[in-house]
Amino acid sequence: MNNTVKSLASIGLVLYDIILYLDTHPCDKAALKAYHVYRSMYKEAVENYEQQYGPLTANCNENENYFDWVNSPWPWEGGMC
Amino acid sequence: MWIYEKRLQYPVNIKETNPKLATAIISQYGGPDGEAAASFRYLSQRYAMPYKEACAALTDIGTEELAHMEIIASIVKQLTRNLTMKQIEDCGFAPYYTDHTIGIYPQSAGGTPFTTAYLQSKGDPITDLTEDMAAEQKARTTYDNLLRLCKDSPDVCDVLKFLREREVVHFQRFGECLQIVNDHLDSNNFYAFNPAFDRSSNCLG
Repeated sequence: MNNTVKSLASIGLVLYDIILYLDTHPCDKAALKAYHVYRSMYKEAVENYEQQYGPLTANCNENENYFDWVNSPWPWEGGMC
Repeated sequence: MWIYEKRLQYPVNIKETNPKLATAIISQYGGPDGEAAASFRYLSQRYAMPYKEACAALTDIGTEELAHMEIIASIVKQLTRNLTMKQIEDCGFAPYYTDHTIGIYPQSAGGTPFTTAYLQSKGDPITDLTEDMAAEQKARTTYDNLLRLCKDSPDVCDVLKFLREREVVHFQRFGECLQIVNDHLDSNNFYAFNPAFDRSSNCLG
C-alpha cells in the first residue's frame, strides 16, 4: 500500500477513534493530549496527500487554472494504494 | 453541515470479480442492519437528545456511518468490475442486474429496497440509545455472517473485519451515553419522566 495513503488512513482512524472517546469523556486529559498529537499528525498527513493526489476537500483546490478536485481519483475506484 | 473528504476511511482494493458475494454485502449498504439505517437513525435521534456528550456521539458516529456506506459501496462496485454476461447468469446476479445493471442501490441481500422502517427515532433518550446499542450488535452479527461467506476472499474479509470492529467501538460509546443519560435521571426511577419531553420530574406523577 502507498505510504502516503496508508498513513493518512491510519492517522485519520486513530484521530476519529479518540474523538468518539472524547465525546463521552470530554474531561479526560490523557485522551485530550493524544487528540492534539494526532490532530497535528493528521494535518501533516493531509498536506503530504494533497501534494501527491490533489485536493482532499473541494475547498482546498490550489490550482488557479483548473479545478483539480474533479480530476483526482475517486476513492471507490481502488488502486490508489 | 458536512464536508466530503475524497478518501475512504479504510482502503478498499479488491482484485477479484465476485457478483454473488456483492449481492450479500449490499445488505450492509441498504439492508435492515446496514450503514444507511445506522446513519439516518443516529443523525435523526440527536435532535431529541438533551445531553451534550450524547449529542456529540450521535453526530460523530452518524457521520462515521456515512463513511461506512461509502466503504460498502466501494466493495460492491469493485466486486462487480468487468462482469461478463456469463458471470451474471451463473452467479445469481441476474435479478440485481435486471433492475440496477451494476449501479449501487440501497437494498437488503434479499432484494428489499431500503426503508426507514428499519429505524426508529422515539424522542426518548433511554429508548433511542437502547435501540442504538442493539443496532450495533445486529450490524456486528451481520458482519460475522458475511465473514463466513467470504473466507476465500481475503481482500474483502480484511475490510469487513475493520467495519465489524467499528460496530463494537460504537456499541461501547452508546453504552457510555446511556450511562450519562441515567446519571442525569432519578436513580429511584429512571423512567419517572422523559427528559426530552416532560418539563419536570413530576409530570408522570
